[in-house]
Amino acid sequence: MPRFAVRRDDATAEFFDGTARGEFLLVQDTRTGEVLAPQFDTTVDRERYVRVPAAGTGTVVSWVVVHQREPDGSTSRIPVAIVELDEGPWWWSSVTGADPDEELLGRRVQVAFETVGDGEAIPYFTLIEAADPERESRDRSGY
Amino acid sequence: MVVEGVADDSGTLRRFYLELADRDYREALRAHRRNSVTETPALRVSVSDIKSWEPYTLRLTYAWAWQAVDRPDDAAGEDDGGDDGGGARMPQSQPAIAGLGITAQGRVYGKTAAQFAAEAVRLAVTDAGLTLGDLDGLLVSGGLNSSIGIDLQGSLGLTDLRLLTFMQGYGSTAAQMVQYAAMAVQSGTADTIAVVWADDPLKEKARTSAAYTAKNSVPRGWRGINASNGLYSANTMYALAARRHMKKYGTTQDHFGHIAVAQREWAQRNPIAQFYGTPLTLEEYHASRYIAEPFHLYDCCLVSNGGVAVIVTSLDRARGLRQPPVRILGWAQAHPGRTGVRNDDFGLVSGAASAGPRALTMAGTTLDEIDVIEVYDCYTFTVLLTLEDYGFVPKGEGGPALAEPGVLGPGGKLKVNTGGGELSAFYLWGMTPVHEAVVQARGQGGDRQVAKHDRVLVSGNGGVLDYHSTLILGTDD
Repeated sequence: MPRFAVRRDDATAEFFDGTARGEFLLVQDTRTGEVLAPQFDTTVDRERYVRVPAAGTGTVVSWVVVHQREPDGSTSRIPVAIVELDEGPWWWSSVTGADPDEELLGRRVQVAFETVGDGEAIPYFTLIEAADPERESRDRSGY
Repeated sequence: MVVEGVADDSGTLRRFYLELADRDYREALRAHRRNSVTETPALRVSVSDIKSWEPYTLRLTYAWAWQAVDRPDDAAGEDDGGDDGGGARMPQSQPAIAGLGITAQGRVYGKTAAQFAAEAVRLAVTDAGLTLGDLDGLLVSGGLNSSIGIDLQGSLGLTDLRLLTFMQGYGSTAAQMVQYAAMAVQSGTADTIAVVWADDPLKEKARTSAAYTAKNSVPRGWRGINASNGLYSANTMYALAARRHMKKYGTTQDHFGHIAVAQREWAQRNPIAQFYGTPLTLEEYHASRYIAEPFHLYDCCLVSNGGVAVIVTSLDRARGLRQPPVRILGWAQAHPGRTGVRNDDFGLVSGAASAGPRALTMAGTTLDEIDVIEVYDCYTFTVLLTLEDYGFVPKGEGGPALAEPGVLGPGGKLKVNTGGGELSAFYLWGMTPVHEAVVQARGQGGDRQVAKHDRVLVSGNGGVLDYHSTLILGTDD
């Protein structure tokens, strides 16, 4: 889950407009149909490249557990992952709802949003509980 | 080319080795056709015996030639660049490293990066047997937040430089700078170039972990989103890459540990290593705290203050200087440009796979002729991946292959990161492997010197496996 506030800049303004509505905006090339990552700069051709909402679901292609020192001297273990969105682009995010000791490769995740302080709504991902996690992992663990 | 010329006021006709600017060459050629004498502002040359020049062979400018013209006839012939019998041909200068300087490094306080850089250049110039006034080129780089810049020229009192810029390719920078300096020597853009990198991330009474963290109190934009999600460090990004390799190929933390231990063994033979006198066992590796699972502390490189400089010049000039020349035989870069979409090979393949073969081809050598390997080792995993990509071990088998007894470490078959590397000696980005490569190629490694050191491979790696550079260095044979 996001830990501190983030402000928008010109490059992220439209993306944060989307997160405020509960949408995770990707970019679509209207000429080829290809779906691109949110970071793609649409200003190069605003007619050709348009922002489209993602389904908001994806699959973990890699994950690690960050050890974060807290002010009180304790250590937090934060699972973070590369998520392959169902549309194709990758997104780097924390994953909540995950046991830091469990295998996350291939697990299904869903986007959520959190507004911290007076900043923007920040996307993060949560684990979708699969009926059979092992099977889910095998099925989705494409590299 | 070799010409008959009158090159001073004595009026004596002598044979000279000359490298002319394009304009002067054309003028000389016209004069040759007229069988007459051409004249430049500082040199009068009889060109009556010059034949069959080829325009593409012209490389260096006249100004340099004026300082370095007087050469023995036999040496001039040797460097004729492959005379095809049709007459003298303008040679292309072969680049070499003639000087090496390193400041005190590690937890060294009280100096800025710019001051470390200036000191490193002075040390390198002295090491070569030159003076600062001999430099006509300066390539500068430093860490992310360092103060270093091209105003280093003024700090060093360098005037009339013919090459000067600041470069940034992150961890691939140092080897890149050597490449650009080599090309400048080849082309005649400059003759004697200081290549320097320095940094000062460690501040007294500040935690090491604070060295590379963002300074902004209110993060913005895409980076802010990542940071708020816990993705604020290269440690995390490389751990994500390593995990992919582990899951696809069965690589384990034990495999990473063997690399850490092997490099620490090398560091025990390197008195300037930060971990000199502090060996590491596999058990201690596993017991070290986690940074980002699967990475332990000892999977990650050190953080260091300090600077390194090398002097790049022509092989001809280097041969007349103080140190054994280290030839710059081949090089290549590879910057894959991650797609960040489905089927991206992030963590599975690096730019070394593309650059390695090209650099070897340029050097006219093969992998099995490489005696010493100095790879960029920001993490243990980076060593594994890079050695796989170069082909020293099969793709996907680097973990078990490198953990085999007798492969890594001082007694091992592969002489990898012989000074301890960034993991155990010091972290001056790409200058760590470049520095050790020069030491080894010269045969000055002391207790850690590799017996056969004719060919040394160096890698640079920047970003998160985004930017890559390869160098092939060699002894003067």
